[in-house]
Amino acid sequence: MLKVDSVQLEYSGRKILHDVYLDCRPGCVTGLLGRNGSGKSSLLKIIFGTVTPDYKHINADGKIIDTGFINNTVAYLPQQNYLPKQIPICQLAPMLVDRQDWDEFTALDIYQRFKNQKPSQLSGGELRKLETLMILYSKASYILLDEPFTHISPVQADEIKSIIRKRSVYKGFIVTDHQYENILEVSDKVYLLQNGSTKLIKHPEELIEYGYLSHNQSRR
Amino acid sequence: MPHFYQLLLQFYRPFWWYHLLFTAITLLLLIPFGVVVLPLCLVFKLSGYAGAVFFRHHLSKYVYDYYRNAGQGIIKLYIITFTADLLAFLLTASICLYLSPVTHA
Repeated sequence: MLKVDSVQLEYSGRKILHDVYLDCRPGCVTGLLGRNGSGKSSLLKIIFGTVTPDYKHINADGKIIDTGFINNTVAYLPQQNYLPKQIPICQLAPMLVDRQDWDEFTALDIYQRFKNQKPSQLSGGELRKLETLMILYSKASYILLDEPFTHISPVQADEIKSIIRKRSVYKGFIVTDHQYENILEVSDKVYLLQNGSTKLIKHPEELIEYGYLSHNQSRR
Repeated sequence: MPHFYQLLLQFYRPFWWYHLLFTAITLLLLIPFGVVVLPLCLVFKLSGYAGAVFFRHHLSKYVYDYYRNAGQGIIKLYIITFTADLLAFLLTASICLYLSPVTHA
């Protein structure tokens, strides 16, 4: 189980995160919602180990971890493209994809189509999907996805959701996106990050009470 | 482990020509002038590493997440690749100094 507790983060004297608790375990998808600037991406980067907060307590499977990515404990899909542009996909994928899932990954249509191409030769949507899939099939025990449904079509979003569900049987997922419908659909547990603290959402109506959704949006 | 070596090569590859250029310039200085210019050459070579970190940090910092997702820290990758490059440079510099006419004068 991955437990994130007591995270405190300040930028220029402004408290971004101060009362954070969230957890995720294999078999569970944890959704993280919040307005722009609420600190969702910062929180994921803190767990991954690329942002250093003033204080944090992160525990993965009983061990306190300082840098999530070391030894493939945590993998992270950032908002921006992350693959080196001039190396063919077939040389990049083996570095990230779990050997046990290699056959399944290489059987994916998008990998077959683009394996001999470089990321610079792919369209934005194709590259985003491929990058997301490489993280989904990663060796890491816990997977953090920052806006996996942005810049891809609804059909592709459905495909990504289906793979998240399938792989969440033995990996823990924390997913954040502004497309809250996708987050609510794919998550077993949802936290709202508001005013620097996390709130466990038990009913979607609470998102209206906390001011994250309007009444009009909830009727959709 | 083989994946780790591949990852190191992928990390080093975008700047290999740049490091080679710094090595070539320093060797061109070492051959005619000999060991006297060695400290200057070392400073020049080390400044090349600083420049590589600076350029990479500003131009392609986004790829760091690829190496991190492969389970490796960026500082570790810099240390290993720069150490290997420096050792190769020192070996080549030693050969050049041995062959330098100044050394045998």
